[in-house]
Amino acid sequence: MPRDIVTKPRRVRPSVGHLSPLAHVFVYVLLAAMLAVDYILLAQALTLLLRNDSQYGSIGLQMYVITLGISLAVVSLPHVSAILLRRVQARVMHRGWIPVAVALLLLWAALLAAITIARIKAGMDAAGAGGLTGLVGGSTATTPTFSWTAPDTIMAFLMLGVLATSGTISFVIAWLTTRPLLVAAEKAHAQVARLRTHRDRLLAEAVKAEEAAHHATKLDAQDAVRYAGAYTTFHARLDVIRARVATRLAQRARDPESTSQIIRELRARRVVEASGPAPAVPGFPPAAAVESAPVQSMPVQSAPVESAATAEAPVVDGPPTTWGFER
Amino acid sequence: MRGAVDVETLEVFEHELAAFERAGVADLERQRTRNIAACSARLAEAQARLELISRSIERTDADIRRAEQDAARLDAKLTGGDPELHSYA
Repeated sequence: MPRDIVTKPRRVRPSVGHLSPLAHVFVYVLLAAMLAVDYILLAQALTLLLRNDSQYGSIGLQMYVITLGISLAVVSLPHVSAILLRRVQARVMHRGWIPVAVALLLLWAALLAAITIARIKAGMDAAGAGGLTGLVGGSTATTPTFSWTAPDTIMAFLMLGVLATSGTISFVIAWLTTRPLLVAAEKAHAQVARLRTHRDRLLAEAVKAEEAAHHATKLDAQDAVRYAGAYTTFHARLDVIRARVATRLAQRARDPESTSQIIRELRARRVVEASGPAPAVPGFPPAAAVESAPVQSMPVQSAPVESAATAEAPVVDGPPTTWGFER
Repeated sequence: MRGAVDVETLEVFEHELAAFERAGVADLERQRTRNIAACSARLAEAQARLELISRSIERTDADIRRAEQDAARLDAKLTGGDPELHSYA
């Protein structure tokens, strides 16, 4: 069954060529979250790097500024680079901007490498210095050595992974939320065409619904006509039956026996009542009508009279309908 | 056999005829009432759908107008003289 486009319309984009406000909000929330993650990681790394100064609190403000700046650079350099590449792709900017974007990306990679190396170096220094406590007095002369499995090295590479991931995400976001102008124009025209198709389908549905309403009214009118016809037919048939009963009565009234007395009595009673649902028994019809009426079709409702008539018919020599006044 | 139809029998005939007529009329009325109800329900449904469709058409017309404006704006931006000043990306 095809989808009903009236009750469940297809969701259409409100406008082409713009990012929806909700998507904007999501993008900035995501960027801010990545910025916060980078800030926390870098704050810990820089604290470790500058532990000999920061334990006295002398480098606090400088460390905060450096941390914020580096985390901003980690998030925003890929973003700017992606936007530059998009504009070059949309031919809004000259192709000469591509080296600039690549240089920004290289700067970003160099920044990450510097942070990682500094972190590893801080770990090596901390291991060589024997920590802050200095309780191990004998090992102060050990030279710092690099090892891949040292905890600080592993932590440095984990931090590198997180920072690189956040930068990549910001690049992908910028790449996805910006579209080339040509593609946007094509999408706008496709949107217009789709909306026109939708409107045409709606017009077809309107025609169908109009026909349905017309059909409903026509059915109603036809039913009313049929009802009137059935009503008339029903009353006509009842009148026919009553006329046949009256005819039987009239035939009975002609016989010399006491039936005419019965009829007179019945008629008198009906005149007195004058409110019965059945019409009053008409006066005695002429003999020709009386003779011709019962010949046509035998009514079912006057079956006892009919059976009496057919039982009596072979006895008399006349037709069965005139048995009442043959004798 | 002559006395088979007497006044009582005729009155019984009349009574049964009246009862039959009443039953038939009541049956016809019942059918008519039911059909009227069905027809009015069908008509109301069809007209509600018509109303729905007309409102949907109005909304789609507004959407089409807006989409055409967007397309015209993007086309103007695309074919405009200075693409440096009007950037989309």
